[in-house]
Amino acid sequence: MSVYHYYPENAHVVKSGDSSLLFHPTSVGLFHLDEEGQRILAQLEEKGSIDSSEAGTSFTPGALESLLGDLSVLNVVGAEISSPKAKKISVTGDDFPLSTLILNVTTGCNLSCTYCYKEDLVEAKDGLKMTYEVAKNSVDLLFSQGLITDPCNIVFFGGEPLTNLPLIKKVVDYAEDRSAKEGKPLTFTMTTNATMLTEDIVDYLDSHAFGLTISIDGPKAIHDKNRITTSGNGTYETVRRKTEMLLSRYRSRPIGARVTLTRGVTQVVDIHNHLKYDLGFFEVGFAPVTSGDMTSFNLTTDELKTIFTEMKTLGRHYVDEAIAGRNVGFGNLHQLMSNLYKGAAKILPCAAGQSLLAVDGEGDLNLCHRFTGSDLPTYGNVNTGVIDRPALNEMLEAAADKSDKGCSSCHIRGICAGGCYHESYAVTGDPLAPTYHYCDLLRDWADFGIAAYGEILKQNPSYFKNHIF
Amino acid sequence: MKHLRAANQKAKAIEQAVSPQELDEVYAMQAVGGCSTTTDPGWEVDPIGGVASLCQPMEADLYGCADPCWWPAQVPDIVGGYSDWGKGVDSAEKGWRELDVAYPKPVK
Amino acid sequence: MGATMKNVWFAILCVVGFVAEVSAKEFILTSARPNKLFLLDAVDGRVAKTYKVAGQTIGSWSIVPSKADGRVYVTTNNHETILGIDLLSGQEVFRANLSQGDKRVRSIYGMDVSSDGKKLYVHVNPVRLKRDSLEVMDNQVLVFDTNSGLDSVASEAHGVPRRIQGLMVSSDDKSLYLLGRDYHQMNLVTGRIVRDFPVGSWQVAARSPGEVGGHWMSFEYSDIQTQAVYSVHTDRDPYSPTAYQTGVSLLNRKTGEFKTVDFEYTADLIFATAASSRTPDVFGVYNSLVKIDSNAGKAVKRVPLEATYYTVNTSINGEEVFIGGGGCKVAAHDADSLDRIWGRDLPGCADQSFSWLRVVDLDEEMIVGLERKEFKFQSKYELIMEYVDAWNRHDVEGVLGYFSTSFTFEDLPMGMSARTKGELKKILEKTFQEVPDFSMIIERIHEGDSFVVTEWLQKGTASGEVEGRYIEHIPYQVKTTSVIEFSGNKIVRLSDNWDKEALMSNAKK
Repeated sequence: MSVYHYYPENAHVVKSGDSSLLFHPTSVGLFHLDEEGQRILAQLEEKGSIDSSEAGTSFTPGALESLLGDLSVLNVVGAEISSPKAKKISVTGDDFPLSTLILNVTTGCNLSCTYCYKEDLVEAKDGLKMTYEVAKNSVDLLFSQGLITDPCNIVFFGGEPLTNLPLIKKVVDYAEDRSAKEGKPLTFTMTTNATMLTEDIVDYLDSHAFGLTISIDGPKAIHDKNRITTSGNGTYETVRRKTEMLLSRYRSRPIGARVTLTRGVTQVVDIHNHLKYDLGFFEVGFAPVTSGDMTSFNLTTDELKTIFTEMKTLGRHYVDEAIAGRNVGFGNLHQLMSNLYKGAAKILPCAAGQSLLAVDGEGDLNLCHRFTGSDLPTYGNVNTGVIDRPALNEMLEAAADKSDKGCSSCHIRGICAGGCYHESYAVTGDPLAPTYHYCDLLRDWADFGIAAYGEILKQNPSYFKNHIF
Repeated sequence: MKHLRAANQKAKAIEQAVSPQELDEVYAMQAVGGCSTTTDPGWEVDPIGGVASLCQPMEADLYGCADPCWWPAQVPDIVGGYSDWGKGVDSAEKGWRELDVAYPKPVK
Repeated sequence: MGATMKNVWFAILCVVGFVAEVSAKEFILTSARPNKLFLLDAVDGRVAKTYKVAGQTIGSWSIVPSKADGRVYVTTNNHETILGIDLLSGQEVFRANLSQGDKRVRSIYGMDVSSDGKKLYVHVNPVRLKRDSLEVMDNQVLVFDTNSGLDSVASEAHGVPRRIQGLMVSSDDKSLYLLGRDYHQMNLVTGRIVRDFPVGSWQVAARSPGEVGGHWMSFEYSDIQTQAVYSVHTDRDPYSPTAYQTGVSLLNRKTGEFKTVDFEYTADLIFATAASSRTPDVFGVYNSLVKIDSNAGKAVKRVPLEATYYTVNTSINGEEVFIGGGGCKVAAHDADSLDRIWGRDLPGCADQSFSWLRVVDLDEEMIVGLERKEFKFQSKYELIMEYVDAWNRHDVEGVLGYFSTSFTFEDLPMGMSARTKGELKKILEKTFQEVPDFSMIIERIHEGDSFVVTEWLQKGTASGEVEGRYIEHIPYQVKTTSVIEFSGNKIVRLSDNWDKEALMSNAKK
């Protein structure tokens, strides 16, 4: 065979410093691309095909053949004009049994942050508190899934979960007892606004090795814009005080900060600086706000662009420090580095509906914690102990099938996989609609990440072994 | 891969899947006796191709070879997963009729 | 003076008698499915004590007796637990669960104990159980303090070469011999291999690597561990039987001396071997019992066996050879003549499978729950063996003692019958007269509730009248089947059936 046709959706070249990397979208595999490789791919991009006999003197003997052989293996080139259809891979929950259960322990919160996406949010005193019976049935359901040796995780969510601490403690006791007796490895996680932390509570959480995330938006001026009490007062002073107390005592696991970026807030570098170096969080993760019906805090298109530009600036700081052997705790980029290092290719955007489900106060099973209280269907109930796997599997199969969506030829489909269901639902009303509003930004961000990866790989490859787990 | 060089773990895995000769050397089985280190054909013929060196009676060999998993292909793998095969049948000579086929355990 | 002397003699006799009473007795240790360890009297093979080993379900055991303290260490729980049992009391005195956390650890053969009984060495294969795969870890020898009770953990671990299946502590307790495809000597203080004894990796001109099928441990009284080694002469025609060589390796744990000696072409398979404590002989077993002169490098005697035996060991004084393993049979042979002394089936004919056969000496009086008591029969099986002994002693009155007052005896081929002890007595006397060396060798006993069927060989040199002909000094050996029916412990019917033609055809020659 001498004519090789190019399948552009299966290749993406990224410049990294003064060299190039070939990014393989399906597998998230990365390959070094030498000068000849770059030339061949440039020609394929331009002409759509290459004839191996036309090598002549422009390539070293055998180089064209072996490169085309490698590209055939990756399905970047082939004999047919269009690439063969991709094989369907099973994504159902039968192969990936439930291992993470999010318990919505209360719909009540002691704060009233403007942008909160929880559809069922109410004041703390009015919150629907999950009963112990529902919580216990949830634990029983979780323990019955998969093998007894499979590790599992219980996440406490809300509202503000600490407003129902008594329930959390009972669940921890029950679950740890079963875990010890049956040998099922178990971990706990929780996100909290930190305002209700006391030394006793912190020590309690530490003694059970909770993985904690604190919701905090940055320095006082930024944080107090949106993270307010029901009477409209800022919470920064309290949150800062509690955070300092927490970070001075907590030893079992590193603690991260979760930042929500809203209208007028684009200073990613400053916020990271404050939270990482002033307050001492191990890691900071940034989430542009999920816009729903309430639009007053939505980010404008320009602001989104600014945010990504700031993320790249912070990203360059991350790379410089990584080359020096340090992890600066920029959560978003660090996660991307981990995915690129391993070559973690995704068909689904997350584990929701697969190995992750959320339980609401009634005991119904939701796709994830963001959907509790929403109009989306539920998938079974912990009190009957039955997960509606057929319905979930149907939804997952539909989510994985990108054949009629723009995703099918997008070069970051293995990294994004269609984006957050809730993000899509909030913007379009359809959880399976890809988050098109982010596509360009994310592709750009991914290219930045690949280039950053290449630089760290060249100058300090041991960084990955030491900092990525 | 003949020309492209892996730059991440996934790419390395692809290289190994494509060119198996680059895989690590095969390790010899740890056990000398037991756990299918031999291609001993079993009860049909002895190593010389005759029947004179088979165990007498042949049932004398059954547990002797099943228990240290000498022939996990011919009998259920007693060490690996079917340690109850032979339960209640202490004498192969007397009770071989009771020894049943092992069926796969149901998956949860 | 008289009285005093009498007292002194009495005292001396008492002392002598007392000493005689506590002198140690030789026993055989062998195991059978699903969980029984048997202590057998070495003199006649009868069960002296039965140990039920917790957690055992299969026939693959390591069995390591400890001379210093009368314990035995065994593997159980699918090779994942080491159990120490006091042989006298039957109590569990040591337990080590090898698997910990996500590591599944098994000891599939390879265990020995120091001569002072204080340290136990266990060879293990650990494997890490991951979420979706198994990670094979390096094999090791673990060291346990035997006083650490029922929850013992290893105090030390040594990395060792792969493919190890047997351990033997040197006589001075300073080294551990590792037996595998090759053998090695490891210094127990430093953990370093100080000597290699190549077998699988030997470099012998025109010879394939030596192959060892397994390691059956039997060195406890000879101090020499032996194993059959097979190899091929690569410069000979592969279709010629002389291309296939059987040898035996000998490793002396006292002197450290190691040698491999060729002794025959591989026409017969040999599983286990055992060195004599007394002579340079090595005994090998499988479908025959063979005696090998390890100095001369020759197989000097071989007797066929009525069944396959996997294991062999030698008595403390080297005068007997014990065989077992595989099925349910255990037997003793004379080390010089290789004649059988006794042969038995284990209770219920439970299979010994792949486990070792070891020799111990214990004070019989101290055994708790000793099963074998004079003239008290646990089963028809016991009774029959006593009965056979009486026949082999030519003890007419003894044989008669097993019959009820009225019974039926018939010898079908000879057309003989008897209904009273008087009639039977005449038949017995005639038999022993005509066949002065008459003997019975039991091959199988099939037990029912009130009857027994025996398959046995009758053997001897016959003279007398058979079918109107007079024969003289005709050696014969015929297989006989007898049906013996009991009422209580007494025989009410005995029906012998054997092949008279075998005797006749011999007579016609």
